[in-house]
Amino acid sequence: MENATPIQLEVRVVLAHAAVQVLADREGVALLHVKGPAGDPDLRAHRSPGTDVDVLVRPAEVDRFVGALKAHGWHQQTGFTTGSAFNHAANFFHDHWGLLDVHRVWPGFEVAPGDAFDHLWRQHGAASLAGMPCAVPARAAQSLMLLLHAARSPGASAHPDVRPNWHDASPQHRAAVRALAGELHAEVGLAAALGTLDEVDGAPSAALWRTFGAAPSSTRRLDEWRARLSAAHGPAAKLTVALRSLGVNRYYLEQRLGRPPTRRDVAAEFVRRLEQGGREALARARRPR
Amino acid sequence: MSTYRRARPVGEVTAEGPPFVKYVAALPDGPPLVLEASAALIWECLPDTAELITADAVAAQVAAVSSAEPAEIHADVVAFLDALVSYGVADRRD
Repeated sequence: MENATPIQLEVRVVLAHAAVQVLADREGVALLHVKGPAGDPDLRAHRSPGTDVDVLVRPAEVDRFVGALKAHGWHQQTGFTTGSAFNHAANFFHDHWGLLDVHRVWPGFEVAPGDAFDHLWRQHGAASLAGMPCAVPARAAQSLMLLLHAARSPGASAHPDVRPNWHDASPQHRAAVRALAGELHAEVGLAAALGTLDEVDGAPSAALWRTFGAAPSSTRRLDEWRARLSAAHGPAAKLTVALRSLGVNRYYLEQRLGRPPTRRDVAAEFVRRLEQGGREALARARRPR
Repeated sequence: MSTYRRARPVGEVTAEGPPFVKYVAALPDGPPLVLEASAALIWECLPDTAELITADAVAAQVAAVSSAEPAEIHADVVAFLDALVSYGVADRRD
């Protein structure tokens, strides 16, 4: 009976959402299911339900939730501070359920993470996934979150999610999205998604969003780290970001190598990144101003 | 005589078929199971309420739509119901 027929990815993802919800219910953890099959079909650019599960967890309850995940066969692949400039998500893998992204912050909301979650939670809707009732963001919040996600891609305004969530949306829906962006201080990220960053150029985070939208270049990585430093709040956060810029993300190294990295691999990668950083700094120094 | 019903919580997805396929899993740990044809039919016979159903009644319902005799399939139905119990997606009361 088990494995007699391969389970389609979309079915596995839906069941995984339900499995995660049951764990959250048991632990008394509030979370929102985002993207993929949890999203409003009208707001999705693709009919594909996605390849992983994304949830946004109430920040104060993240540690408890992660503990529950680990106790139920979820293996942590990356930590919250190793994945992106925003330190926003940790990745987990389960032999039955596949990939899970646990978000403690949604990049683009510039209010305190707990305040952002509570705002979304007060207006949340519900979806039935594999028969389990799952909390999902309200429709305008879904659009804003998809737009902010798109904003982190090169050429963000051409991302397929932008059209259904903005250009093809009704004026009322766009107004609701823009109003929510104001309430959550997400105007800069929204501008990045819509290709209107010039309108918010003075904002501290504008440079960081601009690096995501730029085409890859030899100096882009350095630009991204400079923008991370600029957007980090306070000296301690800036120092942490600076130190991390030299660190090696073991998960991505493993993906590139196709095997778990050894200490020698990590050391070699560290040296490679130092050298790459040096080359980028040199290229920048030599660039005509 | 043993009686059966669906366990809780169980995740369930129905394929948009044909063929008629049910995917079920005990939550939160799994594993996901693929129930095809008569297996899916037996699953459909199980109540997801407080009531329970006997293997005789399940065999009778399956026989009614498969042109088999209940006695012919009874042993297979019981074995399958017990397998569902072992995977955590069904409860049995003896």
